[in-house]
Amino acid sequence: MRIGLALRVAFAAMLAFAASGCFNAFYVLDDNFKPKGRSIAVLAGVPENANVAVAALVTDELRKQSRYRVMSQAQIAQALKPYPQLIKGPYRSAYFEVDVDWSLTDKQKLAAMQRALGVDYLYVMWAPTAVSWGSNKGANLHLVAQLFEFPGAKEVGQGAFLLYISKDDTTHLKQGAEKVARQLAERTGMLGKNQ
Amino acid sequence: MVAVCVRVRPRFTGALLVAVLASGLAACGGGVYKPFNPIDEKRPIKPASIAVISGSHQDGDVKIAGFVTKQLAERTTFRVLSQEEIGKRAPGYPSAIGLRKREEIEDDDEKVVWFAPSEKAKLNALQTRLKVDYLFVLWIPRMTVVSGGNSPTTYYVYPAGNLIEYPGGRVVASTRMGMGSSASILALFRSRDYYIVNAIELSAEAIVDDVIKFTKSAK
Repeated sequence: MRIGLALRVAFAAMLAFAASGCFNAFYVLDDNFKPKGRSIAVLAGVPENANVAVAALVTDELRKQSRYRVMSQAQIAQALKPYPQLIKGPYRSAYFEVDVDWSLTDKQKLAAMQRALGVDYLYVMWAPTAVSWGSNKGANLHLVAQLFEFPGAKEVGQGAFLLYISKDDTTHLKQGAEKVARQLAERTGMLGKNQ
Repeated sequence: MVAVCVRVRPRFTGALLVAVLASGLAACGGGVYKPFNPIDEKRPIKPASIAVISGSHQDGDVKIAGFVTKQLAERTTFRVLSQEEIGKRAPGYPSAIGLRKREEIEDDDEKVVWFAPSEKAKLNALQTRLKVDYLFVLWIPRMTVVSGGNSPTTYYVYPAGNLIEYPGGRVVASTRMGMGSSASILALFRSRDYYIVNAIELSAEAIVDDVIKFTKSAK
């Protein structure tokens, strides 16, 4: 069956990517991108624990690895009520995979949130579904993320990727968040001096 | 090779992740097929006002709530609140109604109360805003896709639900079932979600069939 073959190929590709350490979570839409400000907030787009935890980990890592002034999740929660809250994200559906459409994000809502936060950039992460294979004890959290520049809510970067989550071990998730933050910092020219 | 892919609902305990998974299909629905099962068969459930509540904003939950709403409105004498009306009356809807831990639920339990006791206050608050006689809260905690061998790729969904009666907030019925939809050659021409959504729609039909049977509410 076509779908069966596609699933097996996707699984094999996933394993191959994991094995090779190849992980592409973020790219800028314009190669000549230069940041116009330094403040940033990382938002969870889906108000569920897994999404919020990933946003928190990326926030921590961005603080360590970048020159951005990164708003803490606690500061975000103080400024936005309620937080986390559902933000319409860049996808049509999310069952076993995320059917991405980058144009679907609710930019008006993001603009309102940015006004409350007063930051130059919003990096919004959506984790709408998690998928496991066979008897695997863990699961792949499917994420899509976009970076918006303000004023104007201009999308300047994006990425769709998987992070492996496991019941007993958060090591993979932390390592994944580390890589996401590093790529975001590096590819927007904001990598910290000690990195 | 047969590939079994399971869509799971990730949970965290504090900062730690708890993604509860099972291998294969046997563990998914526990073999129970009760689309709508009254907790006490002697206690009548009368057609009255009802709101079908999505247990979270995940696509499966939202879809099944939408399908059951539509079917109840079309086929029964229940006075059914639309999903739009629920959204207007309860800002922030749908919000997550937490499920009990999987290990707390017996595999053969046909009258499961799915939500955690701590979530009751949330449901009561929702009812206060909606002012209906029944809340029918629905989730799809698990979906699987089985692929390979000589069989067609099949998508399975495992809906869970509870009907709660007001005033009182008593759970009067439970939903626990599994439903599949197999891809055909037409998959080439259909959207990628077609068979998952089809399985959800078939589940909604089965649920409303049983609601009609137990409540004698057919139009």
